[in-house]
Amino acid sequence: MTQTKVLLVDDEIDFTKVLSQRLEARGLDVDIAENGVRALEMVQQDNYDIILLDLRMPEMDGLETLKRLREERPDLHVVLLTGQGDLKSGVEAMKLGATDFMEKPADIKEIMEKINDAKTQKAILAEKIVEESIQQILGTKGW
Amino acid sequence: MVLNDGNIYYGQMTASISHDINNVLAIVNELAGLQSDLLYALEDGGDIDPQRFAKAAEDIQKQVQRGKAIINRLNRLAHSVDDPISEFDLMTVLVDTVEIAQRLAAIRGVKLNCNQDNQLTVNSNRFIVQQGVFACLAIAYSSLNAGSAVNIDSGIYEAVVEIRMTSDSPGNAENLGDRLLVLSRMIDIIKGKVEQVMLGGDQLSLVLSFPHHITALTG
Repeated sequence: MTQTKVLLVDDEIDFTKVLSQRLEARGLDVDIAENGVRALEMVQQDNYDIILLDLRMPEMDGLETLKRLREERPDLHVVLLTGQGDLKSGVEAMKLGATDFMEKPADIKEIMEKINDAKTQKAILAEKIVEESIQQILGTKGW
Repeated sequence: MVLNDGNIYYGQMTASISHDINNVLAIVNELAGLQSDLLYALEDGGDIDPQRFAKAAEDIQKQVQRGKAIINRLNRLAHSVDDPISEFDLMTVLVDTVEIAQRLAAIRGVKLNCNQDNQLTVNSNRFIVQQGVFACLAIAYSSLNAGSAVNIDSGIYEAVVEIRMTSDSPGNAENLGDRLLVLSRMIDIIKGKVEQVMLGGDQLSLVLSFPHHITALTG
């Protein structure tokens, strides 16, 4: 099984630094983007399984980042990891296609569960795409 | 009406502070979690790096200090309504307000630079002064493009306090009228006024002024 790739997007460097260490200790491959602009650049270069995204960030806020990420990569799984005061925006983010929502401070077990769920969903989706392609090929061959 | 206008900004300020406190808690949560991870690894027969453990403890202490500073700021804001008129240090109010507004300005890509470094004792309504400063900053940063900065200076000129907030780049002064009108109504209670001054190069400058010493509120 390939290592799960996670992108943490948050301007609180002290937070992302420690959380990334804890996730790496659990076998994940973690990158950090300090704002939405950087996150958009990084998803062009790497194939992330899941994005953990804060909502309140300088330069480009989380909602705009989410919208742009979904435009660039509709298959991306984005989970919001954000402060309590952002619940209203959280609902808005779910409408924009976020996979899930977590409030900071979050339990590491909960974070790992969301990551594993996203990875499973991604695998199911990939399997479905392969299956559909096979069916299509079989159909064109008349089998 | 004055109270309603002030409450809008008070709400924005406390929301910003609660966000900052939440961030501190989130970091402490991860640092404590990291220490637990290290101890579990030890229980499982692994080695523990004492320096890493100590660093996490040190970082927790730093975050506690950061949290304490934020809570002190919140406490001063909460007590600003205690007395209709009191003697207070304007520098503390300016520094607190800039700290509170900084995160909101940063979201828009604007930086706030407070150039006040001397104590300046003022006799006025601390709540209205702080709301007035915050309102001016909010108006300034929301009128600027990302990458801009607002410089905040203050002084006393013939018994009148002047707080000048000047952008380092052109601002969008359209639609400022209504917001300045609301602000004018709010600061009228301390005999204050706010003026929008256009500088060369379309730089935006807001000047909040009010008497250095008042003995009663108006209205």
